[in-house]
Amino acid sequence: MGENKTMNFIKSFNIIANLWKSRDLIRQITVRDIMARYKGTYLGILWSIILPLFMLSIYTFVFSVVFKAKWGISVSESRTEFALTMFCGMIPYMLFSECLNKATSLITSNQNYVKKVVFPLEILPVTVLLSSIIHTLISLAILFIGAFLFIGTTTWTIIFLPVIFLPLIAMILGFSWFLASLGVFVRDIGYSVGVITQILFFLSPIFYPTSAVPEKFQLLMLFNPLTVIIESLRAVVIWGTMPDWKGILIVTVFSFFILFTGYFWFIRTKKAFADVI
Amino acid sequence: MSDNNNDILVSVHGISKCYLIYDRAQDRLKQIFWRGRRQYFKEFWALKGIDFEVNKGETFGIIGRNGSGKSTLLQIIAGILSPTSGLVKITGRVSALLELGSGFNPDFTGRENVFLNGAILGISRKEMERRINDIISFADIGEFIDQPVKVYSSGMYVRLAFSVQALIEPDILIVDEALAVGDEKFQRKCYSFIDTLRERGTCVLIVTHSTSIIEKYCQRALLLDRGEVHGLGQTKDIIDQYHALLYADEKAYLKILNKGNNEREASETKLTKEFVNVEAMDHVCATNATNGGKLSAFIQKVWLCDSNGDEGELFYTGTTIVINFKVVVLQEIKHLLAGIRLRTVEGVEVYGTSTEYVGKSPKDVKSNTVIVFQFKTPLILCEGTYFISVAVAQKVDSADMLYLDKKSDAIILKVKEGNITATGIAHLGSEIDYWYEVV
Repeated sequence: MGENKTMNFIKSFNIIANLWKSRDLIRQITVRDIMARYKGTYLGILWSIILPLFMLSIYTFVFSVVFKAKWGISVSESRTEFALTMFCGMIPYMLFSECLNKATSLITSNQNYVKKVVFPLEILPVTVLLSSIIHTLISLAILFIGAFLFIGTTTWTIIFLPVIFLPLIAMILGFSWFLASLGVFVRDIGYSVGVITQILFFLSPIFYPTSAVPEKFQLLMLFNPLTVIIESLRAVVIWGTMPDWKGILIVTVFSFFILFTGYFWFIRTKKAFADVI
Repeated sequence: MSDNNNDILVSVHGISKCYLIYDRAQDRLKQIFWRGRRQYFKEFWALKGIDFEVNKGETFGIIGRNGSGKSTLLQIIAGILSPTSGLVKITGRVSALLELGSGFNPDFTGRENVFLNGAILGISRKEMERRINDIISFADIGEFIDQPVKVYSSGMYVRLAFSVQALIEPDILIVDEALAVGDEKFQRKCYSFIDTLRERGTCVLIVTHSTSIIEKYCQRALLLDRGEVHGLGQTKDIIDQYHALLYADEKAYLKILNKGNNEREASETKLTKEFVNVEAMDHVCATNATNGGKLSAFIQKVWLCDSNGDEGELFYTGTTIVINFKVVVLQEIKHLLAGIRLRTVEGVEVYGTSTEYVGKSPKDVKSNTVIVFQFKTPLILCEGTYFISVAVAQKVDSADMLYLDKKSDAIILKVKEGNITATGIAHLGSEIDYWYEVV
């Protein structure tokens, strides 16, 4: 019996294998989620292109035209260049905040899956992530086209994109599992995550470079895992330089730690969901 | 863990479920934080030490009043809830129809939900594609299959839900009260399908309030009350016991239960059969003394016998029974009324009469007297179970009366007819004849 328990314990860490078993379910729910998002709208999937472009123009207007912010890296910096640089920051941030904000109410809004059927609840954060990634991909496409049109260079360094997104995805999943579970027991989580992601929007180098932050605060900025990801994305897409390898390594280790603890927490607590909801 | 009996598909051992009732959701986390050092919850035991096994090809019924723990038990068997203690062993694919439209996503169309449900049950898309036509034709909801299920009527919901759960050929099928929503024709279709499933070896667990369904389809049944097993055995016996639980008063029922338990222990057999009225009859009614402050009369004893005065366990159609009850009068009563009423187990009033109708009400009854009322009644009833209530009242004026004491469903009357010659309630005893007419 004891040996069995340890085996199960080890097995529960095999996240990929566990999720693979439910791949059909993940696919169906994800496809449905994406379709449901724009169902009944006239513009449909076009909204995924319009929304980020719209946000981008507003932010560019506010920060570049009104505040006259300068990135200050290249001398001949244009508004479009500012916009694209800022967009590099928005893409990972939007993915991060969308998934986390949805995670908090994920279980409570799917009571059917908790109380009426035996359902692998751990796939729900995965489906949210997958359907959000579609938007990230669309945004990335816009970014590449923009970079090609307005900066005119294509950088070979974009082959490092997967290395940058891997820790981001792992981190999002880990946090999502943790928050999804916590949201069942403490309903306040929904509000606090909203506030925290809002704060992160200003504390991440989205519309300013890390270098613009006073030096004594720069180290503090690095505690925000999004910082390294955003700066590295900028480096590979806009500047054509190498990502911050050391930073990426640290963030990857951190993210996988979050991934496993989040998953473990979720699996341990999910038995109690049906009792609470 | 070798299994010496491969025919047992569901085995439940000592299942208990305790709900920790917290005043606030945050207290749950605090409890985890403090562990055992502080207690923020109250315990509520929804199930206590449930034990039973269900075999291959068996239809097993679970009955009980509202809040007896039936649904909790099913949810534990289905794997949705985890028990506080005990072990559930399930062999094979479980498919559960718990409440309306188990796990349907309201925004999906019916067809999509069929596939989603299949995926939840771990059935490959290929297999579902093979079965989808059967499922859709069984559900028989027409073009609604391609509409989102949120526009479905509750009947359509349950039609589709049942079709999915039943047509994937589960080894264990769990059916909650949900089916009651479907119309009668569909229900019949479902139950006949359940029968075919059973023949193929599926074991079926049915939970319902409807004793007629249990009676018709289940071989064995379990009676749950307040989270405990009150009876487990042949359907017929369990249903009798359930009726006693529902309609007889508590003391009488407890005696029945105790008797049942003792006999079970003694002979290790199933519950005794015609247990009912002997027990009910000699119970002494300790009437609650709060009857308007002063107690003027109470019914002390109710019993039943045949025309020879023999107290029996059951009576045959066509004989005469005598319903007796003893009334103790404590204070002088000017005009005393006594009445009886017979009801079927479904609560349909069969017959009612009183001393007043026939002008036999005792007048000017002195205090501290005992009166025995006797209602000699020809038993022109069809086979079945009936409940007898008795009451005494005091006439206030020509139109009004005041109840002094009432024993609702004090006696369970079982009526048998050797060779059944009629169905229904009233045995009117038609004389049947026929002849040929000369053309």
